[in-house]
Amino acid sequence: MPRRYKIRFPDVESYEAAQTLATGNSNAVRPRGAQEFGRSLVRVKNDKRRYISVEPATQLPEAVGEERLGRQLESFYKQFGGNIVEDYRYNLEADIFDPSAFSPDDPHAPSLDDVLTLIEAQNAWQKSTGENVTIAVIDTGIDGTRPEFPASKRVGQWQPLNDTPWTDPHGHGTMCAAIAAGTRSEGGAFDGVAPGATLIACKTGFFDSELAAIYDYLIGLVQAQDMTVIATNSFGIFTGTPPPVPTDSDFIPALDDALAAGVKVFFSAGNYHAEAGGSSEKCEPNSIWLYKCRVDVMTVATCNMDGEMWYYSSRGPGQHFGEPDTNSKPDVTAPTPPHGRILYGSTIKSLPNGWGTSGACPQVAGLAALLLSKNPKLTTNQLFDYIRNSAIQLDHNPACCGAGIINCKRAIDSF
Amino acid sequence: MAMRYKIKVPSEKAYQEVRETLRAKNVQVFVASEKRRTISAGNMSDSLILDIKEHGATVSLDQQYDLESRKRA
Repeated sequence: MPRRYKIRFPDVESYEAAQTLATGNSNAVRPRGAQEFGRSLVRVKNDKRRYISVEPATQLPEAVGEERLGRQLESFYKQFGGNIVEDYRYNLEADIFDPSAFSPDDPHAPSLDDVLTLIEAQNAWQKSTGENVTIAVIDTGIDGTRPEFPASKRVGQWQPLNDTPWTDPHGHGTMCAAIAAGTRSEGGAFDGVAPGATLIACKTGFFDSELAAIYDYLIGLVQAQDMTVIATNSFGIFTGTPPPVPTDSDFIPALDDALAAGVKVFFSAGNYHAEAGGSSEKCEPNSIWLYKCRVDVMTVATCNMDGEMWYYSSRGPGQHFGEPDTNSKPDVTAPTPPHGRILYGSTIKSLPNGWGTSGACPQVAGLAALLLSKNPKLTTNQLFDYIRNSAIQLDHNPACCGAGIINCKRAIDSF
Repeated sequence: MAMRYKIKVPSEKAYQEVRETLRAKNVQVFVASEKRRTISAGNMSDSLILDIKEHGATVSLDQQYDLESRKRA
């Protein structure tokens, strides 16, 4: 872990001038992988308190990065009067998906079954279980040893070259797949929202190039095999401040092409509300970033089982709200229970702080499968309207919860 | 931490040449998209990057998004 320094500036002018020296532009916090070569990284920018937190560029050998940062720190001190201290590092609070934070499995704790009851998924299955619809889980993989994903359910896979499909050492992707379309039919522990839907395991390290290739693969399935494909995406850019728009992206053009081809796309809103400085009861500041603001994708927040927004669930209306082809985000909310039991990798685990918006997004993807199974010709706008219009309003500003908590029975009955 | 580079080439011919160059140098290739003439490759030396650029390629860092959690995956 590189050493990090905090530099506090005496006035606004020196604070702003110094940032230019640090980054070469005003985009102080960059997404991982997007840093320019050879520049030190500004990890935190606090306008209110006029400090930045800097660490050496990761692309450089450690000694070179430290030496280069040392020269910059000297400049901060000499040119701008910055006060430099090492940035103290506290221990992490239990992270949602930090294995050390998982609780032992408690059979009496709420589980995916309780979530499905709350959103009335089982009550919708009389009309649809998602047959003839495929959900692509773009994530860390899916554990193919689990009975929730029998061979009959697996209709495709994508993975980086020389990687192995239908494996998931992390466990996160398996959770998302189980929520969207797991099945008990062959001995699985849980049914998902759409147990009749099939699955594609898109295993990725979330690189731009991989995401582009995945969406190109899905386009091929839609065009060559006339498949009805839904994509569930529980990834984003970890930051509490608006990130710069990625340059030279292939993922975004591929996403454009996939949407044009008819792929229905769902994104987690993000778990960045606390990171952005927001408190639990507030519906601001904004912390839904980039492509998640698009009107042609659905963006999903999360609340607990009582309808209270999780403290981390990103708030809208979205970084680009007001620009063309955007709408107020999030679109809807899905519940994830405290200490909720869920399949996570090869075993069932209990996650103290819910399942994140990661666990909310595949619920809505599953609901979309129920609807598209009844009418695969639904346009994206029609599909999204059915989901939004059948949601049950929550006692929050739409910037917290969108149209409210999803309800599968109401959605399928509204056909 | 291992680097991931995104290589974009201007033509089909250059795409094949760059792939052959990477193969000859035993560079790990993670993604190869003929449609977008893009290759995602692992660690490369500065001299190899220069060789690849001579085929008209652009070489940049392959941006990585984060798993949706409260900290980086």
